Amino acid sequence: MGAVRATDEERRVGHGEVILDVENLVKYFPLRRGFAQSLKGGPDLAVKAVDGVTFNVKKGELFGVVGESGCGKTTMGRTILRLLEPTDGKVVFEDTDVTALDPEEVKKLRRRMQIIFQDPYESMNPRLDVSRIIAEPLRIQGIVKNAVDARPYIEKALEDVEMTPPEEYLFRYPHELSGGQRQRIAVARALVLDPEFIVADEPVSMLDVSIRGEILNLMLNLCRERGVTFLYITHDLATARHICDRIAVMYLGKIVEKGPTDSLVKHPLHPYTRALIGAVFVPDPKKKGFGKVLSGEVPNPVNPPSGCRLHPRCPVCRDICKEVEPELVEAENNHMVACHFALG
Amino acid sequence: MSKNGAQNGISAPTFWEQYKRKPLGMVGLFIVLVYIFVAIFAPFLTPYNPKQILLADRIAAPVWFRSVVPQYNDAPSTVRTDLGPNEWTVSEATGGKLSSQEQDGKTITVIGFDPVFSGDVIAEGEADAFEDSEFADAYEKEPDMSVVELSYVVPYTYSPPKTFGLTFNYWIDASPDSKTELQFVIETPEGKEFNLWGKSYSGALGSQPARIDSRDLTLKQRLGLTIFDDPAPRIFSSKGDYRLVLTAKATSGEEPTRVCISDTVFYIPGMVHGVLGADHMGADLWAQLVYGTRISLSIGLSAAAISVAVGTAVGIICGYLGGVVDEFMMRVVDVLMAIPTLPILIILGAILGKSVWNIVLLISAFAWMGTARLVRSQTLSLRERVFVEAAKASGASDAYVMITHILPNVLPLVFAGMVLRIPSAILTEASLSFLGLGDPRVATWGRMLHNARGFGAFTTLAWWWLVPPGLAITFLSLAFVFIGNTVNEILNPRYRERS
Repeated sequence: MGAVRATDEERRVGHGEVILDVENLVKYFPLRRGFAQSLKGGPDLAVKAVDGVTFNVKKGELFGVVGESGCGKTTMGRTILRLLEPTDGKVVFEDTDVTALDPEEVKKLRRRMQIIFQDPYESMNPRLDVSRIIAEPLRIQGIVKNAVDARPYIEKALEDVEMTPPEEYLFRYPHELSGGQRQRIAVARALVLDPEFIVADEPVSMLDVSIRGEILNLMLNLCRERGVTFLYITHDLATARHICDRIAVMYLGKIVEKGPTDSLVKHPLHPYTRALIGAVFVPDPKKKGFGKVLSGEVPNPVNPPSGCRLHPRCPVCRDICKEVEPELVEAENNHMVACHFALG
Repeated sequence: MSKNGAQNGISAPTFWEQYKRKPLGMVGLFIVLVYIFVAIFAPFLTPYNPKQILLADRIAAPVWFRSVVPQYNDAPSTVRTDLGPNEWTVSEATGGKLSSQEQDGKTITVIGFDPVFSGDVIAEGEADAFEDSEFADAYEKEPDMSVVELSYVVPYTYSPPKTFGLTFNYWIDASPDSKTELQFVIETPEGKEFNLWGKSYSGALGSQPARIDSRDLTLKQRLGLTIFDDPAPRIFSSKGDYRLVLTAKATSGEEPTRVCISDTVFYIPGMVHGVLGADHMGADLWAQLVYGTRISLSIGLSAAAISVAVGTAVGIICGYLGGVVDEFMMRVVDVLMAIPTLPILIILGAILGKSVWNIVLLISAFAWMGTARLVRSQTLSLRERVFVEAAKASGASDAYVMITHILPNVLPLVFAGMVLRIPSAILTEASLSFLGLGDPRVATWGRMLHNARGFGAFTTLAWWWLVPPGLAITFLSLAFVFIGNTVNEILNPRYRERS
C-alpha cells in the first residue's frame, strides 16, 4: 500500500474553507414498545446512535471518521446526507442548511453530495447492467432522458475510475464483475453527477486486502486532482491513516478525539484512540503497540454509561469519569480530545 | 457470493437450460402446448359449432361405438335432407307442374296448377259435352282435381331409428272457390304406405307450419297405433330405399292455384354421432370440448394475470410504503382471505349476471391476496437493500424505486405464483359453470358437466359425455401445476434442490 501513502505535503491541514459543518448532530432510533408497556409509562427508549457530534470538513479534504462497529459512524454519514432524518442538530453544506430542506431541495442537493456504500455486492441492483447503474442518478436527476444521451457521462465516469475501455464494461451485470470492479462502478455512480462531496462508507472493508489499495488510491486521486471532498468512514485506523488529512475517532455516538492525522496517530491523547492504534497490526516484531487492547463489549447504545462513555472499559478510569462527561477541548494545535485525563 | 447468486435471479437462456432438465416441467409444457394448439385450431378440429343443436338424437353415442359395441353395429347416423325444388322428382303431374321461386333468400317449391279456361272458351270447345245436363251438373258439383305428385328417395341402411321428423312451411295462393288437398306419405321398400299427414283447404291459405314428429300422439292415432307404440321403428323397419311422396291435388278457380312449400327438412336423428356423441339437445360434444379449451385457457390466463397484477401492485405499495396504507390493506387481505370463496362467488355471480368477463373479474377479485402477501414480504426485505438506498441517495422517488428496483426483483417469484394461480382459476370457473352460474352462451367444460348432470348422462351412463370434460380440466390443471412447480424450483431459491 506504499503508493497510497499520502505525503506530508499533501496533508493540507487546517486551511481551506469549510464545506461541511456538522453541529451537535443527534440521531436517535426510538424503540417500538408494546401497547401494554406504553401504558406502564416511563421514558421513551431510543437507540442513541449519534449523540451530539460536532465537526467540520474543509474543501478538498479527506476527512476520516474511525470507530468500532456500532459506534454510529455509518448513521452519522447517512444523517448528514439526509438519508436519515436527524433528531437534532444542524448540518450546513456550503451555505445550505441540509437539515432544513424540503424534499424537492433535498433532491437537488443529491447532485452535490453523494455516497459510496460499504458492500459492492449489495449496493447494485442485480438486474441492471453497468450502464444503467451508472446512468441511474442522471436519469433520476433528469439530466439525461435516454441511454444515448447518458453514454458520454457514463464513459467519462468509467474512465475516472480507471475502468478502460469503458465499452468493455457497459453492458455487464454486477455478478460478472469482481469485487474491486464493482466498487469502482459504485464510485463511478457516485461521480457521475460530479458532486463536490462524497461520503465513503467503509468502501474497502468488504474487499480483498490486495485491491483495497486501488480503491483508496482512486479516492485519493479524485480528492487531490478533482478536488472532491471525502468523508471517509472506516473502522480501520490503518487505512484512514494512509489517506486522510484529518481523522475523528468516534465512540458510542460521540467524537472522542479529532485532529490532523499525523498528530492523532503519533500522539494519541485519548485512551480509546490508543487502544485502536494498539490494535493495528504492525508487521515488525520489535515494535510494540501503545498498550493493551480494550476488554469488554461496546455498551448498549440505548443506555450509554454515565459520565465518560468509555469508563467501564477504560484503563485509566477514575471516579470523576463515571459522573462527569468530558468536553471536547483543544489539547494541541487543532487536536481536540474529550478526556479528563488526556494522555500526553 | 452464494447468497448473491440466489437472489440474482436467472437470465432467460439459463432458465430454459435448467427448465429443460426437469421432466415434469416438460410434460406440463407439452400438455399446455397441445391445449393451446387445440384452442387455436378449434374450427379445423371439428366441423360443428358447439351451439348447433339437433345434429343427432339426444345423448347419441360416439360414431366409433359401431365397431366396438355390438348393439351399435348398425346404429343410424343422422339422416337429414333439405328438400327443395331440385331434390323432388315429379312422379305424376296432371294439370299442374313443379317450379321454383326465390323469396327472401330461400328457394321455394311451387306447385302451380293450370288455370281453368274461361266459361266462353269451355262453351265453344266443349259445347256438346254440356248438352247432357246431368253430366254438366255432375261436372259442376265435382270438378276433376289436378294432381301433382312429388317424390324423393331416401336410402336407409341402418337398424330402425327411434324417431324421425319432417317439417315444412306451406301456403296456398288460390281463388276462394278453389279446393286443395295435400298429403305426405312414406313408402317402404316393401311397398307399404304410411300416410303421415294430410290436409284439405278451400281458397287461399297463409303460411302454415307443418311439424311431423314420430313421437306425436296425433300421428300415432293417424297410423292406427297405440300411444305406447313408436312409429319410427315400424316404418323404417328394413334397409332399403324409402320414398317420401308429397301429393297435391287442386282445382283452380278464377286464378290458378299455387301451392308453395318452403324449409322442407326430413330428419332421422342418428343414434351415433361424431367423435364424442351428442348431448341432450343433439349438439356435438367434441365441438363443445374443443371450443371449451378456448374458454378455459382464456379464463385461466386472464384471471391469473389480473389477480397477480393486482396482488403485485398491492404487495409492492404496501410493503414499500408501510404505515397506515399497509395496515389497512393487510386487514382487507385478511378479511377477504377469511371469506370462503365459492359461496361468495355463487352469490355475486348470481347478482352480477352470467358473463365470461364477470366470472373472470370475480375470480380475480378473490385470488389476489396470496400474491399480495408474498410480494409484500419480499418487498419488505428488498426495500432495505442497499441498492434501494443508493437510488434514494441519488434522489429517487418512491414510484421510481418501486418500478425500477422492487418490481423486477419480485417478478420471478410472481411469475411462478401466476402459473400456479391458473389451474385454480380454471377449476373455479368450472365449478361455477357446473353449478349453473357460468355464461350460458358459451360452451365450457363446467357447462358440459352441468348439462351431463342435469340431462341424464348419469342415468344413461353416457360416460362419453361425462369423462372427457373432467379429464380435460384435470390434465390442464395438472399441466399448469407441473409448470408452476418447476418454475418455482428454478426461480425460487427456497424450493431449489440442495444437491
